[in-house]
Amino acid sequence: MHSNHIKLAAVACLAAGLLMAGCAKKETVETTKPEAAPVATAKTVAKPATNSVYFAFDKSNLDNPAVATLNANAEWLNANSDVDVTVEGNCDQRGTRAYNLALGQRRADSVRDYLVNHGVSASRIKTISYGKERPRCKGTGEACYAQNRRADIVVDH
Amino acid sequence: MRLISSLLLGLLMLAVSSPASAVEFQIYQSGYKPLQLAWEIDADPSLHLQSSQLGDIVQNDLATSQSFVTMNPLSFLDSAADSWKQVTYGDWRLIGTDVLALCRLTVTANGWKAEVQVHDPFRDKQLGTSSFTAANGDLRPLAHRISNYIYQTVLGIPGYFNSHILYVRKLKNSSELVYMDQDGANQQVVARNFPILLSPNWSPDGKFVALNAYVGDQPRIELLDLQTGSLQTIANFGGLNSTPAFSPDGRHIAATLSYAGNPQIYIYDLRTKKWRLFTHHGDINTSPTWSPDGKWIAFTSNRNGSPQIYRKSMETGEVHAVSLVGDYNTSPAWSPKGDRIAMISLKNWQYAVATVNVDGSDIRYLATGKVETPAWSPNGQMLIYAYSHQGLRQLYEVPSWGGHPQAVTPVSEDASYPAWSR
Repeated sequence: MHSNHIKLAAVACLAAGLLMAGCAKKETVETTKPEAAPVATAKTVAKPATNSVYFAFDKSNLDNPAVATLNANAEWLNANSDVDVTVEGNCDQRGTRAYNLALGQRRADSVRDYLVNHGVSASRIKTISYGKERPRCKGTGEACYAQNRRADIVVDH
Repeated sequence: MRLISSLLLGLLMLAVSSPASAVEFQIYQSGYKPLQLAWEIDADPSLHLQSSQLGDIVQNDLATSQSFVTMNPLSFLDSAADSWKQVTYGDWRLIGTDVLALCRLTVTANGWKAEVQVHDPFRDKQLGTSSFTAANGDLRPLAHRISNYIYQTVLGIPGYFNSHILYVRKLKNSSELVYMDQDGANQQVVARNFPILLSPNWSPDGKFVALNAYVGDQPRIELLDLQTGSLQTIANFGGLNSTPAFSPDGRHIAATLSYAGNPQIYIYDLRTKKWRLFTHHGDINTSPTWSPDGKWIAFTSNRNGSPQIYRKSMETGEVHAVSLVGDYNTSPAWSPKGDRIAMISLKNWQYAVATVNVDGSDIRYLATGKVETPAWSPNGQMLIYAYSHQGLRQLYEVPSWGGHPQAVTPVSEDASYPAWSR
């Protein structure tokens, strides 16, 4: 959020045709007092801090933190209608490969369905499951497994 | 006091959760005692290399089946030449020989001839005799035919030694499909450069392989022609396109698709090139496997909460539970004999290769560790599976009637998803 406000401030500054030195000074101030950032161009929704949603073992339902993440992502996607995304479903290394491939698909589908129900056009969202084929964390233990039980909303290029 | 009790509780929990203390599966032990096999080969001294190579392949085949144990020739009282003149059964009984296999290798105008006799010294009886010819070149196919003959003559079960295995070899940035003889010889890469490659499955005639290949970032079901190496896409829907399985008559392929909603089993008709929905219930349905008569498909479903194995009739649509024990059973593989289904069972984070009767009774745990994707030998006597340790996977095999797991691929590569030719 901080860096976005700073950028907005900098853009506003340039648009007003002020001196660069003035901009730099203003940036410093904004960094320490983010709540004072100008909101004149606030139609632009900040890109959410995270695009990852996490799941419990053998589950594809969305918990409260997941819903919060998805609300922010849905808002951003609705404000940026030219952006298409792929939702990538992943699983931890426990369980078996073919089943995890299906489970990863269900996780990706859960995320897609939530986004669609919150106004994002289904035609903008692809889904793919990597099952447990591409773990982010390659070790063992719950801390590692928890990172891998995940769906990522990845912007298409 | 409270501090001490919570400390004690902590220690107790540590002890309970220690994986080293978890023994979830009692490994099935058969009462079978492998037969002591004596192999003798008679050949002209100029064929010394060939005759010892032939003997090595045959004895390795029979020993790895675990139905036989090969005997040390130093204990033999009679030479091969002696035995070809006259088998002295008493001499073989004396050293405990259950099966005597005699071979004579000769050169013919255009190749090899191998004559074989199989004897049972404890019954003073010749069980069979046959002769095999082969064109010049590799002795391996000839050796495997001899192994099949000895195996079938003694056990009354067809051998599997001339069969082939496909598996997925994972390299640093891609995966490839490897073809080899069942004993690991003659490896060749038949398809390569896939970002992800999963679930190879043979057509019954051995000419095609259905597989789940990612092309770019899109999973597809592809048909690989093993003769030409060409790939034909048969499923390229949104979402999942996974776990293809040929029907026993080779006319259909069952697979998992999710384009219409939840992952469900669909059936593809190779003539009409159309998919039709087969399962309707549950959040996840995947990993279809056909009964050898083609009348049932078993699959994994979480319709009752956790993943379990079910079977559904092609004719009536009736569904029965197959796995009845444990919270998590996946990766079903129907045996070629039809009587049992292999699967992966998970209990308290311990895994096992298991088999059950089709009605779910008589579960047998055959191998433990981080095991995946069991597949049957064509005669139903062996199971091959992937075993993972220290991040690398190796193929192992174990007799379906109980025995010890043995490595098929080396530790130097990542091998998984074995498929045995039918």
